[in-house]
Amino acid sequence: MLRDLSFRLRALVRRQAVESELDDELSFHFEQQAEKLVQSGVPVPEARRRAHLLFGGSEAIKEECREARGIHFLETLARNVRYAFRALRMAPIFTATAMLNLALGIGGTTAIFNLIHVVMLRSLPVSNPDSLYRVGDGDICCAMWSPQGRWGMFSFSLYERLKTETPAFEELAAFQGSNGNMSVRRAKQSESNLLRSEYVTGNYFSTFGVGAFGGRVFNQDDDKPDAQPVAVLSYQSWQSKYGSDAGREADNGIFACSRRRYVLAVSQFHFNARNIAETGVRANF
Amino acid sequence: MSEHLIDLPQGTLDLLILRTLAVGPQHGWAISERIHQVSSKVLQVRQGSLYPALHRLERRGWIKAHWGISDNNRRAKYYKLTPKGKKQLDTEKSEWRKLATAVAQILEMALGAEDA
Repeated sequence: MLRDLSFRLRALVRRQAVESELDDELSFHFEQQAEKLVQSGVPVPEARRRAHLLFGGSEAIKEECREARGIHFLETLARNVRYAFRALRMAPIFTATAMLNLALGIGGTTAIFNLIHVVMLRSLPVSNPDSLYRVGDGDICCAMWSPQGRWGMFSFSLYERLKTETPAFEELAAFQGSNGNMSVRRAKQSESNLLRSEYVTGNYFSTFGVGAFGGRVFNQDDDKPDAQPVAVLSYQSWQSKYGSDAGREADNGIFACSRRRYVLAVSQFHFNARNIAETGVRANF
Repeated sequence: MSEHLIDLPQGTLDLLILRTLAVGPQHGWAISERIHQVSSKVLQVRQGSLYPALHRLERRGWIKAHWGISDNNRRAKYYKLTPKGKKQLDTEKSEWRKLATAVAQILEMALGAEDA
């Protein structure tokens, strides 16, 4: 199959060479024919005349050879393509409809992909990922027992100092080193869920530019010692563990974590906590 | 030019070319001459059929062409049987024998019917 194609391609691309080879081959035959006649005693001019007669039309033979080499298939293909274009030009309404269909189909698919690419594949689920920096060094972030001599974890007092003395950053938020778990149950219900949790500073959500789907996210006032404990449930956990139903109680602190009661909110739906840290609940301390 | 020539039945030219090339590489002229002579001058391959057939067989990979020098010191295109062509020759040979036998049987029967 491949050999057949290369044979045809040579016939088409190196057309000059193939044609002159064909000429040489046929004229060799003609010469031999004439020579044979001469040897049998026919005078040269007469021999050539008879050879010509025997040979028949050499153009016809060449044409058949071309066909045998399969050039015709490709030539016909080119002709058909040209014909198709002519036919399309003659039927402008059909052509426009077909092109519009293709354009809408391709365009729609591309647009949807772009959306998914932006929302799900490319960026962090925060409002301005380009201006986000992690303070520290090394690849391991935010884990308890991280290697000695690395700046991956900071004490809270050091965080407070960094926050006041680095005006270059708009915000400096902190979250718990390594994850904890919280047993979360609804008020007036005994059933509880064990969710991954982390304690974060009051400016955590505003730093990421993430809002609340329901209720409110933390603010600076939540950092005060006398503030009421509040928690933000991730949208994913709210959906999977509580069937997207927090009831009217969502506004009134009905979720109990351990022995404390928290005001509950649900984070924005596209804030996939897994990209920051795998967390179900963000509680303020 | 007084020889009595018969036209080749459809499809037999390939077989004759392959069989002729089984002896050794030849150019087109020699192939047609050999077929003419070996058939006791009954068969004459026309150039108009021979060359398209050669090109078709080359395309199918049954024969391979190369340029060489002929006996009388001329540049000529030689054709050579490929292994694939040899296999094809065997197939076509046995098919032809089957066909010839079958045709012969039918001719015999027709003769008997006429006699009856």
